[in-house]
Amino acid sequence: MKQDARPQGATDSLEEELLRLLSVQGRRVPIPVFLAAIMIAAMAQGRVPTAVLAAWLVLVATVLAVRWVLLTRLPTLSGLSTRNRLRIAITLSAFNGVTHGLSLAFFPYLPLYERAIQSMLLIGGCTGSVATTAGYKPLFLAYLVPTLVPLVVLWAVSPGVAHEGWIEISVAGVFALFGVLLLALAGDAFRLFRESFEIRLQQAELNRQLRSALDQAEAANRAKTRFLASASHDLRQPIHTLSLFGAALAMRPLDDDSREIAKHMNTALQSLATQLDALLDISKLDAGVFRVNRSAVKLRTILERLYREFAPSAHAKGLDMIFDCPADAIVDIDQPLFERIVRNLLDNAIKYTDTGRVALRAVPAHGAFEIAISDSGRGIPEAEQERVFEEFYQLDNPERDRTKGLGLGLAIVKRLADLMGITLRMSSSPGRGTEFVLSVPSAAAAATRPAETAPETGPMRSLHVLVVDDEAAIRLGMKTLLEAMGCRATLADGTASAVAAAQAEQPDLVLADLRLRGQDDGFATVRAIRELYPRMRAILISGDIAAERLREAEEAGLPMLHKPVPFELLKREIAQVQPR
Amino acid sequence: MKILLVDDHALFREGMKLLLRGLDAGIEMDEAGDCTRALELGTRKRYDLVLLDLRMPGLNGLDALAACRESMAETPIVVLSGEDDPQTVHAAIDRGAMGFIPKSSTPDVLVRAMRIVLARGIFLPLPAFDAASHGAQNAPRPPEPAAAEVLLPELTTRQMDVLRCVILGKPNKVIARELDIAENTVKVHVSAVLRALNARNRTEAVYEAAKLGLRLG
Repeated sequence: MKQDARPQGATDSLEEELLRLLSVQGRRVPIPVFLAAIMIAAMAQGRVPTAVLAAWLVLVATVLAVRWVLLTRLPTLSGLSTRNRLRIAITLSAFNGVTHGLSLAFFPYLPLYERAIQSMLLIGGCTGSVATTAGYKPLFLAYLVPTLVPLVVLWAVSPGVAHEGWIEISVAGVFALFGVLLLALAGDAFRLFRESFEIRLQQAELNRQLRSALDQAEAANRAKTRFLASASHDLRQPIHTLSLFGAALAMRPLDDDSREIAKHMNTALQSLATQLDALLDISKLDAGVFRVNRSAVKLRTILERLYREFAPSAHAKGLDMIFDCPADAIVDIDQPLFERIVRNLLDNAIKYTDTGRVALRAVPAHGAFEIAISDSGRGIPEAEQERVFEEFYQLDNPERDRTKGLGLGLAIVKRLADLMGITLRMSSSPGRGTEFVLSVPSAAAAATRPAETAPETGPMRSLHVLVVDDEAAIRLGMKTLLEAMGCRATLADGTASAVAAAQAEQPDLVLADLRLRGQDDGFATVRAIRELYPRMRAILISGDIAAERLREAEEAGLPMLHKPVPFELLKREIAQVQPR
Repeated sequence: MKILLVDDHALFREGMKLLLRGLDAGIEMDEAGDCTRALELGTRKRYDLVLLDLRMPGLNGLDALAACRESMAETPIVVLSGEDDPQTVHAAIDRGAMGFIPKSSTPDVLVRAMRIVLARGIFLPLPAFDAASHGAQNAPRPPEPAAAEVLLPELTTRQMDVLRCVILGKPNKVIARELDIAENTVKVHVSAVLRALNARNRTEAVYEAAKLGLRLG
């Protein structure tokens, strides 16, 4: 999910933020303010002509309504500059203040008690405006001046109703002081508002930096995966070749010493191959490029073969090897990955056991099977038990003797088990042995035969497929393959010729190579053809196993097949397309 | 025996040559560094066996397999690949390969695999076996290759011929032409052959034949 680095609704400048705040306040304020206005009008009723009061109320309501509508629109009114929009807000504030201040025209006609209430309501409005304007002086003053100033003046000059003049004069003085106090408060409020806004900006900036650092780390990780994927192929090639030479050498008539040398060479080679695989497995597991393909398999078949594979080396060390598995156990696992786990655990069990036995057992346990690999070996001290699943951690190998391997076995086991969602338990006591228990889900026996019986050929007859690849040999190969499936193929070497071909005759499906000549690529081809036929089915074919390309295709909603394209998969994809 | 080895790594081809010479002095081997060259050689000479790598520059993978299958219909193709996951193996067999030898095999297994293949048997890596045959009884290591006459005595001579063609991956039409019989007759024979192998299609038949240790020819 893409995340916006900035807090929701945040804006670029302080003024924008102020406008946003005003639009929120503009919605809250009108009703209580209008109720106060009604109250003032009610108090003046009978003392001031009703027509005047009604006109004033209409004016107040109109200004409140216009202000409400305009303030709500201001933050999104992109046609005007921020400064001008703010000016509008200030003007609205001033109108508001003036209409409220106009109520003071009734002041001389009101008795003292009503005057006090009217003053209270107006002072309340002024106090509230500190909050609703965030203390922004131009806005705040635009309201304060037309209300508070006449109020102070009226108290100061209006003749006393009941008492000597000092009370009225004092009230005027206190109100004036209060106005000054409000101004100071507004200044503080605005400073707080600005600071919180700046902190938010900083936070947003920090988030952006964090995001970009994260992106860089992810890119580096992807680069590592890509490197390892290609290194894996390049490094394995010479190992395979050496293996061949080793086999060829071992078959020749050799004297005993030479035979011994050949044997050791082969052993070292196997160890090299295994360790390389382990390193690559760890990196691939960490990069998350392993895909889990679960299917229902017979547990006994797999375990029995592993038992047979490991029994000779156990026996060679003088260990008993025990095997037990129910004949009808069917489990839902990724077979190659599961085998790797068991193989690593058996390998360790035999390596760290000097006398006694190694056992491989499976027992049913409600809806699952528990596979236990146990030994009577030296065990793992309690203090070390946490650490055995770390990379490069080895018991009893402080001198880091590399013939004992790299210490990646259990690290791989742990990651593979996590990947497949298999729970892995370990219990060990020094001197008595270790037991690992894997809990794998059982599969319903009915589901044992997966969709292996795909329809041979037939329904894909007369499907018209447009093949886009810049290599002529691959185009021809694809054509042969498609024709063997009963499809009809048109060939194109890039986006331009693919579009021309698609215009000449609409295909049912486009098969595009991801990497085409120059800047051209499969994404571009599919986009261009979908401009002609928006609902065109398309499949990308790629030699890349890079995860980012995969994600790109996933985002574009395009299925992607990898070279060499498994025939089965291609057949399945094509079978989903109906000829027109 | 005439073998065509298709692999882009010269050193690997050299090693394979040494290994094969060690196994059988009578082997005559040609090499091709890519599929185009292989197809060219295939039109000039008839081979008894093609050993094909899946990862090569140019035409490669299952496309290369399909192209070789097409142009050398008479020759069994055994895939020799650095990849050995069951899906790839299954896909290769589905595309007409008659065996699959992972390059990552230990030297012992490699030698055994080549022996089986040279004896016209079918070698498949064990994990591939399990993936395809988990429903059946557990799959033992393939025994030494034996002739179809011994393993499937219920088949007639004609059905044996059809069996060989089916395992080679020939379409019914081609089988009919070669054996000079009607296509419908071929269909009848093919279903008898599949029944004898307890298989539902050609790919399963190859797996079953490998399990039995069936020798072709």
